[in-house]
Amino acid sequence: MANNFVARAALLFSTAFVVLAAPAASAAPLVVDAVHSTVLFRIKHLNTSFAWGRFDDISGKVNLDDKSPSLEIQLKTDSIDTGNAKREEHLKSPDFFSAKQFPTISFRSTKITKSGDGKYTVDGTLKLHGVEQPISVELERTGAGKNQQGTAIEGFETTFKIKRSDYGMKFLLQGLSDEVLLIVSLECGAK
Amino acid sequence: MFTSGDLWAGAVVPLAITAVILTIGWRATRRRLGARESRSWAGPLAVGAGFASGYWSLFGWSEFPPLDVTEWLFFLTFPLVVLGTLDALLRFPLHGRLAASVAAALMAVFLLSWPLVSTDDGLQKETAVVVALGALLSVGCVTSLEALAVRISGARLSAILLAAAIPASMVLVLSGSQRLGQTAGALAATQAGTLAASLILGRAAVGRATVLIFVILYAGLLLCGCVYAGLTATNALILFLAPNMAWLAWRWTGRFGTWQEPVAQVALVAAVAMIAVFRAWQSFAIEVAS
Repeated sequence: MANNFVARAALLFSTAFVVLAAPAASAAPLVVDAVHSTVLFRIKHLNTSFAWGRFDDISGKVNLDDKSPSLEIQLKTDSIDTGNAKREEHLKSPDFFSAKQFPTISFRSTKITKSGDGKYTVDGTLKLHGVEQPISVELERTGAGKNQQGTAIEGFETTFKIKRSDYGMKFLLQGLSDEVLLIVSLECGAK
Repeated sequence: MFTSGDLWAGAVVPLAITAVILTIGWRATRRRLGARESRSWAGPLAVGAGFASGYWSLFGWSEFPPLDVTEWLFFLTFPLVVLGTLDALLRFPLHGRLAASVAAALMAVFLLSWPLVSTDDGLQKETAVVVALGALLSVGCVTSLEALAVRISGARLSAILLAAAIPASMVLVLSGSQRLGQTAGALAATQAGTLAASLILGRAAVGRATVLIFVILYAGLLLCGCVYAGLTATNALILFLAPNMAWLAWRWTGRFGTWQEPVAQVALVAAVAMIAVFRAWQSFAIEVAS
């Protein structure tokens, strides 16, 4: 009789734990998959053509479902990739990113509001070259599915422009445009 | 990208300002001070003002404290001018000059390397070695060149420092930082200015007092190139040693005539510094081709 009571109590507690824990699990942030995410930038060279580059080392967390949505992205400055080693060395130097002094570029959201079906307005702080500036971007949910391991994944994309001079990157403004276009495409899944 | 504007701002402006301040400074005070003091006190001020104006015309006024660590080179100029001028006027004894060079080197190294400590990676062991070596070599280089400066004319010293600074500028550009290269170019232009002023003033010896400010800024540039850009430690060491090569030439050419000796000294300094240019160019060409 006593054993039966203990077994029932244990079942009740474990059920309650699963039920209570379930919302917390669904609110867990999705982790950015660095392999299937891309951060591209585009800058105009000598007011003539656009040069493209990317950052290969991306990490971050996305949480758009619960009541306190958040988005955090970090890029390693040292992972800049333009397809030319000498140009990358120049971009990492104090002329531009000063990668040794400022090894990380980060974005942290301060407010996320749903602006439409699968669309969000994300306000936040972009920290680049040691300077923090508030920015607002339109984030679009590009799809959802499952990866090869059966884990649920979601995709997001945003395109926005910044002025590099706002972040103290003022060198060679006559040769490389002040305005830089960024395309951020994220694939995220549960860890 | 180098434009005619860059050439004007980074070479003509510092050269002219250095030469004018040095010439006016000497002529304005030669009656009140002894000839040697009046020649030397304006040296650090002329080099400092020339370098700062060149930097300002190239990159504009930096905010304080500067965002980018390499901008400390501009602000370093001011305490170095004060230190150099005090040394010139008060004629520090040897231990006083040594203390001044240690203080200047430590200040430069601290300001130029402290941001690395606060990064996630912290100060890496190899970077710490480069920084410590930079401070030691700076003090050694100041002592060595000050000792050389009292044995040669101001014009010859300027030519020796110029012969090292121009290749340093080229190496820094080839090592991935045009900004540091242009800054080294402005420093080189100050030596062209002291050379021009020395030629105008005849036998005016501006020499020793300019060594501290030049060497600390030169060392700071090489340190920044090593730590924040792609300057190799070997090339930095070659450029560091280059101006000191004048000692060797001085020893070897003692039996030469009056004009061959300075030519040999400057040529040896330039030849050693050009080894670094050659190495940097070779590396640049290989990387561009690959």
